[in-house]
Amino acid sequence: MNAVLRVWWTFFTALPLQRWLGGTGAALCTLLAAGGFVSGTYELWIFGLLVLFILAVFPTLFASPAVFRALSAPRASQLLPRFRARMLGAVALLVATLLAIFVLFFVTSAAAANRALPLEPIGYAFAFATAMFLWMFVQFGDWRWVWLWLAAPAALGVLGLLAPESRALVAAVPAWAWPGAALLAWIGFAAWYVRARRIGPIRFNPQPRARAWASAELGGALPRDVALRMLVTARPPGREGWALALVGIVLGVNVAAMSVAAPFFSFTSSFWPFGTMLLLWGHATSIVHRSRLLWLRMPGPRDAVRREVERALLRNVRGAVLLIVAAAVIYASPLVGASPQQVLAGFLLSACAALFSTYLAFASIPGRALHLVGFGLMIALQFPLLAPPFTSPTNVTIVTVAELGGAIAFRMLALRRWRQIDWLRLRPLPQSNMFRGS
Amino acid sequence: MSEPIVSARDVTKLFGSKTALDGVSADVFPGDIIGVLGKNGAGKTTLLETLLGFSPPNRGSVAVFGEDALAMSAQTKARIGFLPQLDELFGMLNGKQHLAIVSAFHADWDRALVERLIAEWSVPLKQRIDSLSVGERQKLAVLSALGHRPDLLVLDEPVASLDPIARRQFLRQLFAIAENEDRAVLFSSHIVSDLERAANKVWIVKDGRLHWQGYLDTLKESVVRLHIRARSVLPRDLAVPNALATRVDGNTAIATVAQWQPSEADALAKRFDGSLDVESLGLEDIFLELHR
Repeated sequence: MNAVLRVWWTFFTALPLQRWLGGTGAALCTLLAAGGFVSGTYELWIFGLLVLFILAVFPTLFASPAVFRALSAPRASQLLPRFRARMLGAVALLVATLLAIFVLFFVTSAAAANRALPLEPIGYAFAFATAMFLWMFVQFGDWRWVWLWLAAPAALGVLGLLAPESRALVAAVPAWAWPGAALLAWIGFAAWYVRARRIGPIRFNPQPRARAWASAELGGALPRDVALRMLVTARPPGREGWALALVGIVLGVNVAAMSVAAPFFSFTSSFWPFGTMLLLWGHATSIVHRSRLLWLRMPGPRDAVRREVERALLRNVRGAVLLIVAAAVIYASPLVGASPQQVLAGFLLSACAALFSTYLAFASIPGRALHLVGFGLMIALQFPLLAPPFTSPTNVTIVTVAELGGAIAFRMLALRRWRQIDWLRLRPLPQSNMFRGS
Repeated sequence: MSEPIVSARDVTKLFGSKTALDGVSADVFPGDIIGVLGKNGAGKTTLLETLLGFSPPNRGSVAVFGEDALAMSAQTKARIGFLPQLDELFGMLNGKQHLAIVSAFHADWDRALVERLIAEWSVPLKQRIDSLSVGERQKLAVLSALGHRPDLLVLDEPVASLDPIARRQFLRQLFAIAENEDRAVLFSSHIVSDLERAANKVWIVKDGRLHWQGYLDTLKESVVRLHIRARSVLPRDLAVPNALATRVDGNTAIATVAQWQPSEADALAKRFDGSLDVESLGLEDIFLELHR
């Protein structure tokens, strides 16, 4: 098979669960499309494409940047003929495929509703796919880039506060500018990619700045429980107050919520649960993978390690909940003036997202396939149901229940899986190097 | 005979459809220094990690100090020192901080021993682990495994990245541990000369099975190379009992045999109507012959 096609196919089939979901999605879509063709009902077509979108497109959109990075990183890859050009060709084909499925979905929906076909959403979809791919590519290099997700809207918010006229400017951005910007982003990325001396490997494991460790005095006798916590969290002692730092960022983000595009950043939009899930992803995964270090240091069977890991994960959740509480206070304050119901719904939405993300990481042993697909499916649920025009109490309830139900289900799965956890397959993740030398 | 420190019975480990370990039964007794030898992918790491309970077997059981390896007590775990193939050090710490964390888990951490080894091995403690060379990282990892003077020391490729001087020092340390006959060492290595120097027993892992286990001297006596010189041309098929490999060239032949009994020499010489010289083999030659 042609190298470009082979890499393109790998984007869809790299992970076992991705293959299973994609195969199921394709089979269901074919069946529903055939049913639609026979019966002449558009709804079956649309539903089939929606199934394909959720089961095949979203997981691929989130997994493919990891595959792209993993294939690009080895030095030996650089010796393959026209390697990087072919990799870019495969990515272009991937985006074209994803876009083609979206266009098909969109055209069918428009035909079913018997309305004209606006082109803007296709441009937005292209911009969204571009942003997600590039952003995830950066994220897989180092999960600390998750801060970009929070910092960018915060910066926009500050701009909105300092220069209120900028809001009108943002609103006046023509629709074609988004795909145009996406195209420019691809050109920039391609230019960097073909010239970069080395593409870094996948690095999942965030860690505190070296400075934090330098100031930690570990020379003397260290209490066993502190050492245990440090082993599993890779954090210096006395640094658990990190949530306070997050609260500072929350303030910035909330400024953004108040000043620019308020509906998009409302407390019940997808922004908060998605952001919370992302915040917890890296560290929760890291804790689970570091559990190997506890095995010979904890008494008893695997349950003992599982309990310690779950404690560490819940400490992590506690930090995230503090952040959400801080956000809730700001939303409830006269600054935003959200209703108590909205604040409560927003709090539950994000808190349950934190639990979902945590227990998903907890259950994702030994592989990452479940993690990527579970995350992708939840996002596929959050984004359409919590997008500003469609946000409703019912949708918020559906997502909250799905998050909580998912968390409970993943915990039950984790309890079963941890009894047989195989640390030969679950080694500590590669270390993050974003702040190396700082 | 004393109770075994590690006792594995019919241990089978599957990774999907691949059989990594196939019905392995073995014991580690106090005083044993066992070298584990095998080709890449033979199952050495899987075996060592399964013995320590890191990886649950699909069939069979492992007991360590009489306890189920999958549910060892804190006391039992404290008696084990383990050096994994890939070190699991904190990259962002310096060596001193790392040792402080590891020592926190052991009430009987031998500070004097560790300090002596740090000085002997020139381990840079103030440098960040990230910036250490692979060999320096390995020395630090070995210190973490040795510092509490474990009764069972399991080392997966401990000397792979050490320079010759550090390797010698490390082997000396192994001998020192073995002087105490209550202790046992189990280590894998591709450096056969080191293994030959340090081990008193050998496990040869081949395709997930323990192809040979026993005393190194017994193995050396058991696998020999026979040089046969006959009066007439020898047949292509020599039919030497337990032959691993034979090469016939006219009236001379070379055969490598396992389970050799010196008493068989006269009978064989008579059968081929000639003379027979028995050549002892080094461990590396034996390993190569067993993998033909």
